[in-house]
This record gives sequence, structure tokens and C-alpha cells, in this order.
Amino acid sequence: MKTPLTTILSLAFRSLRKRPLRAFLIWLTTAVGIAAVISVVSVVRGGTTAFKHDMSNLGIQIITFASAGRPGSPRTLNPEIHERVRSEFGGGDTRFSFAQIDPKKVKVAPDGESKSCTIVEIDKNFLDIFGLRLLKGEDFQYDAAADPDAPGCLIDQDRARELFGEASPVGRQIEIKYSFKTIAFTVIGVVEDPMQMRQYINKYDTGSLSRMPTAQHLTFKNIYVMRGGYKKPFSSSDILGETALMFVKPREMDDIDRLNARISAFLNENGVRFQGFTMNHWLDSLNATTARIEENSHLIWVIVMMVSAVLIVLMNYMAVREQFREIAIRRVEGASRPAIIAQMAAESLLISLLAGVGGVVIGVGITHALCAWVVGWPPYFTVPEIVLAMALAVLVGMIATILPALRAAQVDPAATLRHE
Amino acid sequence: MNESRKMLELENISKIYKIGEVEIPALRGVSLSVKDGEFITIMGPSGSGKSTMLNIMGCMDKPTSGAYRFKGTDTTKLRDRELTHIRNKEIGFVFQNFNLLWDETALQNVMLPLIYNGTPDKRRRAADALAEVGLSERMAHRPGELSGGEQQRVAIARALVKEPSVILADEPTGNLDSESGEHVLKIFEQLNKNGMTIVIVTHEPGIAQRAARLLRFRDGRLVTDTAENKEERQ
Repeated sequence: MKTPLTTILSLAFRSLRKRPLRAFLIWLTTAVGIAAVISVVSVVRGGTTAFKHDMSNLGIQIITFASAGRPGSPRTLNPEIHERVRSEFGGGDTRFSFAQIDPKKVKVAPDGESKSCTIVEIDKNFLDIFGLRLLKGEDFQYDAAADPDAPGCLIDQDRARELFGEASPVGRQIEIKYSFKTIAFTVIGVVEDPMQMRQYINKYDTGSLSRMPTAQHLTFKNIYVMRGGYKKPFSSSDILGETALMFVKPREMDDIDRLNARISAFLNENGVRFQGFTMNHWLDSLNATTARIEENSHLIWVIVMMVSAVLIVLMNYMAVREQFREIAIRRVEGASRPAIIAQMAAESLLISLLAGVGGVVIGVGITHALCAWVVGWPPYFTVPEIVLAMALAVLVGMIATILPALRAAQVDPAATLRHE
Repeated sequence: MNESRKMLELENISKIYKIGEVEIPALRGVSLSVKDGEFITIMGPSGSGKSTMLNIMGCMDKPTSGAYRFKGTDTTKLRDRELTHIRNKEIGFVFQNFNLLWDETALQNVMLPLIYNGTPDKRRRAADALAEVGLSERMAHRPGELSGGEQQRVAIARALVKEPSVILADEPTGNLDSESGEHVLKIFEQLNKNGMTIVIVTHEPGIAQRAARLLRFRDGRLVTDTAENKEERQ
């Protein structure tokens, strides 16, 4: 005797309506599990995605040349070397940028608070090589004659926020304190922060960034000034136009290691002990780390859903125990064991489907709230994972129903009703 | 005796319950048969095995040994699904404590056996069965809103709705006042007059006197079968 599927579904629906508290608790357990899974995965993935994006902004496919730091070796590159490197390796789209960095005290003129800041003297290729967008104002007028008496500067958005708050910094003046003199600069533009993530990373782990080749030399919260675009107080590098850093962006990704080796050899032949760093090795390591983080976040899936499953099993067991008499009556009146199991499975299916939908809605909400108020980076949702989460809800619900359903099917009607 | 009219045949039925290592015999070698259209009462003290016998007759329980044939089919060889089918189609059950689903209406309780076999027109058939026991006006009420007598009549309607071959009633008036009990008994008598086979387990001698045949059990044995006495006398 086969009980029609519509009857099973109808019985399941009626059973859920008769026990709304149990149905709600199972729904809640499953939905919270799914929501937790979605939140954890989306927040973690959002973080790793934003982090990777920032890393790529910091100089993927860029070779950073800096002093190898050996005794006796020069710590700067002079203009002659600049030109020789350019002429030797500057064919095609290979681009070079020479930069000098100086940690200085900066304050908003006339009486703002002094803050430590990195002044980066850049040339016209710098922003392009690093892919930094100009958010407000204008870039340096490299081709026009710069006025060394009224120098301009660019400021990155995070530093701008620190110094000027939400007001526009363009047109405002800042003062940079050099050893013997303070020079006033007019902010002419705001540059995209190369690392949206740094505020979080700085908060949690500043040390990890120091291992990054670019970060070793380009500390953050920069103020960019034009090389040769202002009258610097006396120093040897100022006179000679020397730079501590050289950035090279090769034509193709495949060239990067070979080009690094060739330029390094060239510099060595010319008595310059500079070393080229690339992001490749570091990025490989980063990718491996973020992949592990994402994999571990999937472990959380398993743990959360196992906890949900155990809770659902317990609730279903308790429900079955409460329903022994009803199940016995149904068995006496013609419900076969498969019909009892099918009814419980259908109940579970209905709850799980609703819990899947609810869990996704709650999970997306929690993720947005976490990203907005706690971690700060944007969430990262993927449709296949959300679908997978819903499928998981159904799977967990069904698995958690198997044992209680089998127990229900084993109810001995004669014994149960005798004890009643 | 006409063999074709035998509805239930029990041969040397024994039932032993095991509780841990302890074996408790509930039935010891009981043999009897029930013919189509009979009205039988089973009596005996508590623990004599009469309810166990009714459970075996109703395919709710299996004997430990012996053979039980329902309409010629040896039920001891049947699987659970086939026994369920017999319970659903052939046997109406009436219990002392009614065994109604507490949160379903009278109509839904009566529809219960029909739900599981896909019978069409369940609602009409259930309504007819309730009308037959005089509860047309109480169809939408839940058991908690009905008197004991009315609840038992709902249970009888649930037994009748499947148009069974036999009704097995386990102390059907045990929880009822005398007036309600009398009402229930009259329904059984009327059903029997219409040809329904009825087996009632009871403690009340008054009910036993109204049945054509009485089976007495003691210590798991059938000690008296008035049909055999009649046959012996004859």
C-alpha cells in the first residue's frame, strides 16, 4: 500500500502547523547555521579579496630596486645611473620611476597639529606605474615649468582625512619641516589610497606588511611631491638628484624575473649594489595564506552545520518521543513505516527549504552589518555558495531526520497503546 | 462448520514477552476460530492474555509461535507492509481510551485510515460514518470538546469508515458511563445484525451475556469457549 505523495506533503504541513514551536526552533537552528556559514565565508572572502586587490595596487609586476645595504655600497642612485638604466632597458613599454622618500613632520598651515609623514618625491611615471588614481584636484604639471617658490603636493586620501577631516584639502597649505627650514606646499590633488585595507591591517598586524618589498620602502600615508619641483634645503642627494628607489614596470609579466636579474647585473657591473625585489614570491605566499584562510572558513561550515545537525536530531528525537502515541495510532490505522519516515522527511524538507531561504536572508544581513560596523571591508558573496548553503540546509535537515524518523517508524503500536 | 466462513483462525498461538533476561508468557498455545458475522466477547482477569490475543487478531502484534490465518492468509509470514494493509483495509479498532488524535477534528480522525490508502471522497465517507453513529453535528469538534461517549462513537466511526471485515474492541465501554456504554453497545449490536464480525474484550459480564459467544482466558490459556461447549452439547 503506497501513500500518495500529496498526502505525505499535506500530513507534513499539518504536522508543522500543529507544532509551531518545534517547527520554529528547527527552522531557527538551521537558519542560524546557514546564516553563520554565509557570514563567515563572505566576510573572510571579502577580506581576502580586498587584501589581494590592495596588494596588487601596491606593485604587482613591479620591480623595486633599493640598496642591498652592504657596507660601502651606495644607498642612492645618481642621475647618471638613471639615464644609463633607461637607455639600456627602456625599450617598448617598460617604464621607470625614480623616487626618494623622506620621513618628515607635517602640519596643516598655519597652526595645525604636527604629524609624522612620509614624503615621497616622485616623477611623472610614479602614479601610473602604481595605478594610483587621482580622486580630486589635479596631477603635477610636469611638462609646464613648475614654480619652485610655490610648490604643490599630492596627498593620499587617508592622510588627507587625517589632516583635514572631511573637508576638501585641495588648495589648502601644509608645512613640511626639513632640517633647517620649513617649506609650505599647496595641496593640488588627492590620490587614491593604495591600500584600502591598511587601516585594518595596521590595526591588527603592522609587522606582516614590513616584509613586503614595496611596503619596506613606501610606508603609507604618503604625501607626494614632485622631484625637482621645489627648492629643497641643502643636502647632498638634493644637489645630485639622487634617489633611494627605482621602480621598473616591465612590458609583460613573464619578463619580470629575467629583467630583474639583468638590471641587477647591470647595476653590479657599474658598482651599484642595489637589489631588485619583486612581488611574485610574496604574492605566491599571500595567495597560499589567503587560500588557507578560505579553506579554514569552510571548516567552519562543517562545524556549524554539524552543531545544527546535532541540535535538529535532538529536537526531532524529542518530538518523536512526544508523538509516540500519535504515531502508534497512525500505524494502527494504516500508516506504513515508509509513510511515517516519508512524513518526517517531508516535514524536514519543508522546514529546511524555509530555513535555507531565511538563513540566506539573515546571513546576508549579518554579513553587511559586520562589514559595515566591524571589519570595514566590503563583503564578497558568490551565488554558487549561497545556493550551496541552501542545499546544505536541506541536506543537514534530511540527515538530521534520518535517525529520528527511523526511530518513529519502529514505534510498536501494540506496546505503545498498551502503555497508554 | 463451514470452513469458507472462517474469518480468523488461530492455531496453538503462544506469545512470550522478553523483558531483559526474563520471559513472560502472555499466551500459551491458544487455538480458536472466528466465523464471519460472529459477535464474540473475550473475558478474563487482568494479565490473562485477552488484550494480547486481540492485538494478534488485529495484526498489531505477531505470535511467538503458532499460526494465525486472517481470511485464509497466514499472517505470521507477512511483512510489516502487508500487515499494515490488512489493518488499514480489513480491521476496525476500538480502544478503551478511544485513541483519537487530540488535535484533529472528529471528521479528520475518522478520515485517518482513508488518508493512507489514497481513497477518493474521504471527506464524504467520513461524514457518512459519523452520521451512522449519530455525530453529524459534531464533525468539526476536537476530542477535547466531546464527551467520552461521543469520543468512543468517533472511534467507532473511524473503524467503520474503512468498511472492515471485523471490528476488534478492547474494553470499549470501560471508560464510559452506563448510558454512553449502552449506546455504544447498541451500535455494535446493530452492526452485528448487519453482518459485521465483532470481537469485544470486556470485564463486564453484562456485555458478555449479550454476545453469542464468550471466550474466557486465564493465565494465557483459553479456558472456556461457549461455542465449543454448544458444539460439544450438540
